[in-house]
Amino acid sequence: MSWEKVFFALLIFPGLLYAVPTAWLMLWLERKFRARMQGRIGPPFYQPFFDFVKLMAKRRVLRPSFDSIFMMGLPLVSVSAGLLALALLPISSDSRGFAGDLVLLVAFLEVPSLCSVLAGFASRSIFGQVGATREAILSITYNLPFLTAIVALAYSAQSLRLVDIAASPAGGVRALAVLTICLCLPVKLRINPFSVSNAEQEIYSGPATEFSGPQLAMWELAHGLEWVALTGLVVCLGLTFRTGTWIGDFAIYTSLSLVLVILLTILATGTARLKIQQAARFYWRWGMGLSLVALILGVFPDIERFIR
Amino acid sequence: MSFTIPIGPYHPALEEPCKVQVICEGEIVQDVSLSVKYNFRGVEWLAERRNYHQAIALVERVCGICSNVHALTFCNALEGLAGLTVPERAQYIRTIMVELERLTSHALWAGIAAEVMGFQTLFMTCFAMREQLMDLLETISGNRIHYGMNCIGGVTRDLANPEAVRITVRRVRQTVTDQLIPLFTEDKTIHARCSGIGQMTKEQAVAWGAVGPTARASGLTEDIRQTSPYAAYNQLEFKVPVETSGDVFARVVVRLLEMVESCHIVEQALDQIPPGPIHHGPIFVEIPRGEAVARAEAPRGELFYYVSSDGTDIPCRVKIRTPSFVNLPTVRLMMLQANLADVPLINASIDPCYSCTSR
Amino acid sequence: MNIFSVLLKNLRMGPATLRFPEEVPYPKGFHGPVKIHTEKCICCGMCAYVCVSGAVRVAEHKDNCEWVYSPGLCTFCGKCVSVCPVEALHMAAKSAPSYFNTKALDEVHLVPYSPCPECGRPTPPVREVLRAKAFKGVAPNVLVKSLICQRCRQKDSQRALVSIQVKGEPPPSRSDK
Repeated sequence: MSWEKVFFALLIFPGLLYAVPTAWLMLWLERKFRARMQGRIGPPFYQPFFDFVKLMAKRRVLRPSFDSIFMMGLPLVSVSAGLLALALLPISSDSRGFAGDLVLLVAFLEVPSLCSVLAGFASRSIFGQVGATREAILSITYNLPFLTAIVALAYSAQSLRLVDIAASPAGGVRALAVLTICLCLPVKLRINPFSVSNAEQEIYSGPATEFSGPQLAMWELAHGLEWVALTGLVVCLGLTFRTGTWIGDFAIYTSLSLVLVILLTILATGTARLKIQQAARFYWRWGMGLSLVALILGVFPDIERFIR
Repeated sequence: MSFTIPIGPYHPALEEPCKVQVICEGEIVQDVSLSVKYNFRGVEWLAERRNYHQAIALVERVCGICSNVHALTFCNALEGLAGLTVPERAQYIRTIMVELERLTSHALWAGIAAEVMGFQTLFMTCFAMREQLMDLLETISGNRIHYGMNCIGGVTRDLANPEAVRITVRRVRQTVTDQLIPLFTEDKTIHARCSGIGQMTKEQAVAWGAVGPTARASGLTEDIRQTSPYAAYNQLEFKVPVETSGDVFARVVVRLLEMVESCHIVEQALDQIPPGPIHHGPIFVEIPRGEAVARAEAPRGELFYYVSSDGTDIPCRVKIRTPSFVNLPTVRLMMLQANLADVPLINASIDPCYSCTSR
Repeated sequence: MNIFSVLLKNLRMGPATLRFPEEVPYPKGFHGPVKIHTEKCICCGMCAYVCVSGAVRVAEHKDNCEWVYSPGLCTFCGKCVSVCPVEALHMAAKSAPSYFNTKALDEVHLVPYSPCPECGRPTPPVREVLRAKAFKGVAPNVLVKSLICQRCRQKDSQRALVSIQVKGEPPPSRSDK
């Protein structure tokens, strides 16, 4: 992997230059579509960008220096992790990757959630702390099926390289694993019915309660990048073919991501918030069940052949 | 590790200032303390310094949601004191207004309950329906919230367009039966959040003195509209929905069925409303020396007014007891050992009105 | 009906809300700020008596009466309009504009007194509506007295009392003067 390619992936596509506007676009699409489904007008498409600019222009709240370092640093780490995760995605057919990039990707995807937990505790607000506790519990809950699904994928492709997994033939293992990852999306993105850690009516916005101005802007951006990265991950792993041309891959990837955003929005709009126990039960029952089946099928491919 | 979480005085789940101090052991509530003092305006004190006509407009402002029933009950007390008979048509108009107000109040409550559960779409559906009712009340009375319809001896405005009322009420009933009832009772996530939460048995409801839909969800069949009818309720047929399970879900069901029943009452009243005067005669009535008490079924339960007069045009004493005042202590009972996530929902389930309670 | 059909219905029907400058028309009989027809007002002060917030105030002066209204204090209950005996008050069809301080929208209207036909002193005006209501079925020679000022009316009744009780004569009729 040459340096130019790394920089291109990190800074242009699917990194900074592509990801940030797409993050805003997805945040807007989620808000707009939700508004329309609720019979409201909804914001214009530039609203997330304006929100960002407005938040950036706000005065910083004075805090003890150690606190401010934490409170500015954590969202920045979160944003960079999102960008790094995006750069690893095997979107077009000519991306190569490297052995073990799957592990790195999973680690990067987990960073925003970890930062959120830390930020909740660092903010020293009771709501932040409760939110952080909830986020931590949920992260254990959803990561079990999520990681099992990833392991199943890697095992069946016999590789820890994303490109190999994306190029592996379609089958039961892959379908089930991608479905499990899809199941984990709402809770990773903290939307209904699993918006437990930022449950507004209970604990304001959870870990982000004490954040304001540029720090909050960064959290919003990190959240948007999570949308881009996670929908992108599902599209990359779920799509069994590549068009071969760069433009074609780009178009398919983007449009499928947006479709995924719309599906997630429909889910979020049509449900009430569950309690943390109910969310945990759901993931340990359905998520775990699905991913375990995927893992068993991945380890013993004969079973799938036998069923066929 | 136990920690204290303050919910309120200003909180997204509460539409009014109130502080629920929750002492939690993990996510489990160990103790709750409520304080509702943030909205005190001294309405009773002010009423003792205003003449009766001003006092009607004043007590109407005790509450922003059930304003009309306050004015109605106060007027009932004064009419009892002065021995006036209110014309039939005025009684029917009062009934229609009170029932429409109950509809708006319950629609607001259903919306808030959905919002507290994080179900924004349902909140929007409820509020879209409530908007139609508000528009209707605006066309009837000229105001969206404080209608100013009641005066001593009748109402101030006639029902100019009964057809508009009929159309809107039919539409509202359709929304309630076709959308709200199926959504609230059949949706899985709502079921997961509501059933088995905030239990209160019939014995507890009696012991803690619960009133209104909160009591009726625990199996008590107390409804002032039936036990001591006022306005035109003695000429109307209606059922009082009662549930026995005593949880948040039962309260949801009771209120939804009450909405259907209210639509039914309004339609009946529109059919039966007689022509005639809307006011008993002179605007200024002498209120003789004496005491009077009036009760009414507000959207949240029994509303009680005591008025004492010394024969002047200013009341000696006005005492208001609002339904939320007696319902709020039950919140503590229901919240013990509940989940932190259920605290706002349990609090909302009694439809607390802090503005009424604190006055 | 499940939630997804509601979502679909909302999508199909389009938004139910309006963008800011658009507004829903006010209904007929809306309670806007109170307006006065000074040529109908009789300065009785009923409106000020029933006003709970002191938004309507009536101050009597030597040769006119001041009707003061502060929309910033008004609760738009419509009590003043409903008790006005001569229908001099009505409510605007639109709500009051927003304001920065409560005094910004205050209105002061002067109701001029008319001279008393007997002594010529300024006296609160008496309108036809009121005469028709309050002096219904009264003999025309007494009806004329409804226009005179309070002092003259007192004098008049004293004179009548004197003529009946002291002199034993029938009261002097207006045409005698």
